[in-house]
Amino acid sequence: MIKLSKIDKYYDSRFQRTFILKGINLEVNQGDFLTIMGPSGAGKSTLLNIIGLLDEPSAGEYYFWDEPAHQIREKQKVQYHRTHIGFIFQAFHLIDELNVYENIETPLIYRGVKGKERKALVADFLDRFNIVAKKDLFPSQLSGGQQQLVAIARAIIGSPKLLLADEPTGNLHSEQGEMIMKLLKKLNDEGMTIIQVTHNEKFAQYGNRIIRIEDGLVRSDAMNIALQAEV
Amino acid sequence: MPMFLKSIKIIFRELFNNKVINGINIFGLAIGIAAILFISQYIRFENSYDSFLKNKESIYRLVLNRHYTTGLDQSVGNNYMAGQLANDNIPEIESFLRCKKSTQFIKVEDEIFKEERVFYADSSFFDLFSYPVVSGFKPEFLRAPNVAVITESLARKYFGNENPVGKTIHCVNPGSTPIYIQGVVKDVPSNSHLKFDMVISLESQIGPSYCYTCNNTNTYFLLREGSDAEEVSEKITGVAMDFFESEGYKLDFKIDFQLQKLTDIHLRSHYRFEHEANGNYKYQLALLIVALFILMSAWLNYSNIFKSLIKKKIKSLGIRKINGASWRSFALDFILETLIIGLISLGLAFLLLTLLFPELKSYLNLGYSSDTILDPQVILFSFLVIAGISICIGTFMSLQFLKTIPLQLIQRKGSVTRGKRPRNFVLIVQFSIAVFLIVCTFMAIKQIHFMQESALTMNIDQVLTLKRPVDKNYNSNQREFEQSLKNIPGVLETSYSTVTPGEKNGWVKGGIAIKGSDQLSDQFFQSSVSPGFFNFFGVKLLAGRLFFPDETNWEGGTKQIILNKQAALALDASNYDELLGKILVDNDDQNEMGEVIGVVDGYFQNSLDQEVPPTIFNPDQFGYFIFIKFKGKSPVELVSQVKDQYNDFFKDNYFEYFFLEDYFNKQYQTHVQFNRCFILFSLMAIAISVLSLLGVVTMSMVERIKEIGIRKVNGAKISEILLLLNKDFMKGVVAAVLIATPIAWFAMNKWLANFAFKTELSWWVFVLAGLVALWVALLTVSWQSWQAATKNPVEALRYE
Repeated sequence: MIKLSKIDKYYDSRFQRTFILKGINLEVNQGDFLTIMGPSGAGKSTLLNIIGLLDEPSAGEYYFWDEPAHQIREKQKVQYHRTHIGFIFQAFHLIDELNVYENIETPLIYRGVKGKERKALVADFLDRFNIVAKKDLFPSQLSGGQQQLVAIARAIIGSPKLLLADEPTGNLHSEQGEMIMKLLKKLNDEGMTIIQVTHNEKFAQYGNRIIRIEDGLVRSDAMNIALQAEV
Repeated sequence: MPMFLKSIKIIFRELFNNKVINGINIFGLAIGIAAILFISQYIRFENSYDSFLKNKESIYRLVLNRHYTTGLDQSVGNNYMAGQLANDNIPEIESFLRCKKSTQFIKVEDEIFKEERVFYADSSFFDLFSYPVVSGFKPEFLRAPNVAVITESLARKYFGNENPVGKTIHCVNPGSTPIYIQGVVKDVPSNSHLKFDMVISLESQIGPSYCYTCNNTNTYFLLREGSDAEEVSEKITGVAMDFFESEGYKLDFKIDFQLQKLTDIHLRSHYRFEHEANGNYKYQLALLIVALFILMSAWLNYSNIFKSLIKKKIKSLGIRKINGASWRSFALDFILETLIIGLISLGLAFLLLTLLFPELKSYLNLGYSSDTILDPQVILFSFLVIAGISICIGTFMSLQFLKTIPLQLIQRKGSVTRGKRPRNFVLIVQFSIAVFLIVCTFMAIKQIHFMQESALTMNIDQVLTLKRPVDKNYNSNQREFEQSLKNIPGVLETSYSTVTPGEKNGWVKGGIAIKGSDQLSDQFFQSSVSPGFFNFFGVKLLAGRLFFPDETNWEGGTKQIILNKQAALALDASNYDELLGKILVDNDDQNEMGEVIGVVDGYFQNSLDQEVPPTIFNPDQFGYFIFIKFKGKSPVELVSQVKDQYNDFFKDNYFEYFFLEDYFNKQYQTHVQFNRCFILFSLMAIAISVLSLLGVVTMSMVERIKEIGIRKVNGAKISEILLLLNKDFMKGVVAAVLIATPIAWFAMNKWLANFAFKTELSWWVFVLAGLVALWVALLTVSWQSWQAATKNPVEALRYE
């Protein structure tokens, strides 16, 4: 599904070039639950953002379903964001001015989903995530865990093929984190491809494959034995 | 349309969430829009003068230029011959019209009315000027002596609902002439330079004694299509010269004629014998610039607030983009938002204008009604402008966001101090504008006060003026009347003259020189005054003596005259004493004007914004204007007592009176109005600046709330915090004062150049304006900063 080859990301300052990512090769298959780990500043988030088309590589090639994604234009990017990729963030990034219902509805509007269908879908998701009672509240009135729930609902309501999660549990306490991770696992079981970045060893184990990045390089790439053993 | 409605719903939600800031924004914008709407309406009205006339493009008025050594005298008064001569000799002229304005006392049945807008005119009047006729047979209008056409409202005033056509009224002076009413026309629109209530045929006035050489007739020409006005002017000058030559008339000053376009009269003509005080296009320009300043101020406020709100929203824009928002949906949101704010402001502006219009109308003496403001065309136009601007802003903003990478939008660190500099810049510009306008207002007040009080060396306080009938038979009554006035307790003194201060003197004599000198002649004004006239008004004698009580120039014998300083200078006198005993003669016929017995200074016939013209004063035993100086008496009581006496001595005449100071100060009407405009605009500019400051302070307090908390936890006193918070803003205001001062100084210097008598540009005016601005700013800032400074620091720090 995703193929990265020799991806570089660097910034040029006056005298030197600072590499964030250097020669990253990575393949992700449909149905994977990939965890990216590594110390702060290793380039995890940058890699995720490149995969999510929020950032552009400085060099290298990136194929999304055999399409050269490193060459696509702004307009196509919007299409990818509308139909293929969903995001969740550490800071939730809900739209403060919109209530829960409207936040979840946002991607559907941009996708041009008709009013009736939209209503049904949002209602369905509110129900599935058990937040029907909260639908008229604004983000500032919700707890962190609840906000992340809404964010996930918003990310997947358009049924994207790929869900990118940048430290989804970073701002949550462990109990809520656990809940979110279980939800992601469930989504993965239902067939969603997920790539998450995390610091948390325990939550990392939810993925079926873990790669570790250090100083812009992939240090290790392994199938998650522990999880498979558990399952 | 659900998405569209949804956007609107969300925009309103956001507006309410930021009530204060958006309120400030909308209110500021409304003031700016109101200012520009108001001014554009005013300018539109001023420029619409006479545009309702059908022939407006081909009607011209004749201007007579007389080039004297003392200067150029321009007048729209011409002699009675000029029009006819030009019409007979110049093929480009299709027809001509002579008319003159006069005040008449009209007797209808037993009542006497004073009518100030009466015109005597040729029968071509209603052919040239397409005033719509209500009743009567137009081809006959004004073709016989003693016939008149009146307006609808005058007809109503005289006859109620009866048809006035065929009725007869009487002109009281001279000698109760019957006037037959031929027709009724619609009332003259207020945007006409020639406002009349009654037009009487000019033939009624032309008797054997008619003055054919007087220069007081307005002459209009209707030119044939395609003729060049400039060329025709030259031809008229040529015809006039030929005429003078054939009559053996020798001019010792140069004259020429020029044609002015009808539609230029209201804004560009300020000559002698105008029908009314005209507007000035320079003032319009000044007002327009000021209105643009205010709009700019409001715009800066808007963009400032817009930017800070965008900063708040930047994250959500990023999220929207990640969720697949297209350029178009951004554009739609931005356009809707600006449109909604713009339309609310526009609505508010219209509301403000209509609510305040009655006040403004009387305050600024406007000639038009509020319908002009609520004209659908204007509303549509302003709506389209706002829509256009919204589309531009929306498109521009969405294109900006199209280019940025969404990640940057999300990751941008909230709102730290990044926007501080532009905000301060905006404040400085706004306060500069406000300070500039305040200085202008103060200076205008100072100048008007200077002209009315300090520079006016003659004493016109507490003087009641009346007009006695012109008829010579009343001369003997005048003396007795004056005697009887002196018996009224409270009356100190009386005097008289042929022309009252504040009225334009129409008695001009060209070609005057010292007898025996070959000096070029000059144009002098003349007036006849009572011997005690100069003492009465406290006018200073520079040389020689004043008139003796029984002196007069109109009963034969030797003549004595007093000159004013300007006349002495026009005669090239190096000191005033050398003129004494000299005799002035009229170069035309070598008639003696009289022997110079004195030179005075400080008598003002007209307002002090114009130069005092050279004037010759003749002693006289009678005069039409009678001045009564009084003290310690209620004016109302005085008027009623004087009226009783008047009715005894001048039976059956209209008692016309005014208080001299009020009458004289009426001449400053345009300046007073101009000043009132400035007061209004200064208030608007201050209001916008205060709103803007309030907005900036509110935003900055929110940003600094944590800083304030930390400082307080570390032991800062409230006063120290206040100082810290206020300091930055005060610096901005001080900078604004420093910027505005030289600009205002320059502008006011230019403005003062328009006045013959000008006040000084005192430093304290600038200091005062600066203090006003500082005080207003300090009050605004302190109100907010006090709240921030006194907040419990724990509360502030808990925000984390």
